Amino acid sequence: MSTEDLLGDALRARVDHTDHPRTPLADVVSTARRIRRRRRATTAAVAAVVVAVLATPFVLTAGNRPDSAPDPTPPTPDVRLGDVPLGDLPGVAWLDGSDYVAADGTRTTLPLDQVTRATPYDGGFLVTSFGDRRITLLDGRLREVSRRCYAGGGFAVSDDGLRTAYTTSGCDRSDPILHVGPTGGDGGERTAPLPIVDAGPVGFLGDGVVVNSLNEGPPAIVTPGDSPTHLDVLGTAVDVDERLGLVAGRLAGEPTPEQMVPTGAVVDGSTGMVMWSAPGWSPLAFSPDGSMVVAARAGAVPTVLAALDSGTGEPLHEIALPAGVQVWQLAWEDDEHLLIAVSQDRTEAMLRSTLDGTFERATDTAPYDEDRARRFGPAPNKFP
Amino acid sequence: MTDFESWLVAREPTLQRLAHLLTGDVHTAQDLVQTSLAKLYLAWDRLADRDNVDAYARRILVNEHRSAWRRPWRRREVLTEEIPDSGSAAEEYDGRREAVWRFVATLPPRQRAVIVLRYYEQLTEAETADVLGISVGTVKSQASRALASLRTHLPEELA
Repeated sequence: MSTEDLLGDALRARVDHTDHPRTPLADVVSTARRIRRRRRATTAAVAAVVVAVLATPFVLTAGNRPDSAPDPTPPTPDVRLGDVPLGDLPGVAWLDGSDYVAADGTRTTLPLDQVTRATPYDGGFLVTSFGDRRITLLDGRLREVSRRCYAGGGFAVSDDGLRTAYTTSGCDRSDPILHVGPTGGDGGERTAPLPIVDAGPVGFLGDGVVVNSLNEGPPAIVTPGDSPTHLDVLGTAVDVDERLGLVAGRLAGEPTPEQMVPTGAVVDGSTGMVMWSAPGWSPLAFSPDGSMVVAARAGAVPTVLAALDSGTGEPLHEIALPAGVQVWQLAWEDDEHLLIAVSQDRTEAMLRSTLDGTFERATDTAPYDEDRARRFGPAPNKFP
Repeated sequence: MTDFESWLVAREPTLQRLAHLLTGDVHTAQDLVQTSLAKLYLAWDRLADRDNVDAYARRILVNEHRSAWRRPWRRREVLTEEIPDSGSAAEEYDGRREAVWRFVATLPPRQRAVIVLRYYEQLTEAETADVLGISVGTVKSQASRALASLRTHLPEELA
């Protein structure tokens, strides 16, 4: 008997005649309800996204670590979205339904319905739509060039705005590929095989791109023409500070299985060394000048955001979100303002927040339907 | 009886056996199956291709197990060389099979998953790679190393 046959025979003998207890349907349903509650509680933190903008260097103080999890949640203001005063439109690129609105206010109506993400690419646009696992490449005249299944979703744009990354795979999830191409119409897309399936780009790191597996594997740094490296210390990467070579994310593993409280961290992308970690905070995005990381209080529906010191993880500012809002996407508009796409009951809007928690609306309000694409959001975004 | 319930009655034993081989004991397997079934239950209405429910359920279970082994407090348990629970294996379970099973129980989780999917589930290298989210090359190398190691570890009189 060959070794392979011996293995198969031993494994079959081990379990094929073993009495395995059956799982009552009621137990399955009960567990499903518990999972659903937990998913709802963490959706906002997972779905939060970043707009990458220019950053300037600053001096890091490595090795510091906040002592403990965040303090109890402060009371959230009881505000209805429609009552929040209306301010200026967003100052960074954003989506208004099927309209891509550039930072200068130029609108481009994309020829697709229920657009969830869009970003300039090769003189045209990359676009994804609600409920469709395909990514559409449009040329400069908005004609469809290609339509392929995406691997992990999302786009990453380099700090200088010149390069964009996205991922594709076969619709059966085979052959995942990273694409890196120019934002303008210069051609010259480069590709690299992805070492993990269901992987989406998070940000540029040198010549490489940090990709994040949606399937719970560690993030990887993929460089066309080079071997990928893994950031094993992280379970999830959420943003990259390109100039400082830092990666924000959540540490691999979870401190307590019951509470599912992650530990946020910033990692040196070149060494994989943890610069600091912050239990109870879930980092979302580096500020444009790189001095802060906005993070959500983890472990429950995020009602509080904080701007953490990028060098130490210390909370510098806390922002109590209006009661009952669901955060869907988030981006820094500049070093002092956040744009936060939210829904509240059946209404959605994009809010602008100062770091001291003063809100105004950056958009009108619109009806919110969870079965359709949300109307407003910063662009590009990294998660659906 | 709903579609899900019918599927559950018919197919749960298959998942239990796979979970048993991945985790090494009946009780951990039961927890793993219950969580996996719950996730399948949540996704049930969105499953357009009911012909592939078995493969989908297997993928959920393997991914769920993989998530568990990545957690440090579980990793310690999985890597033990002791077999936590032998279950009620059949009488025909002889010394050679026992030796092979003890060897499988010492394999790192991913390598063990490769072995189970390849030689118990009889998946191809490509199918195994797809389920585990790794390359075909990694499947080949993991399986090859495990087989070579098994040949080394098995007592000569049992090989």
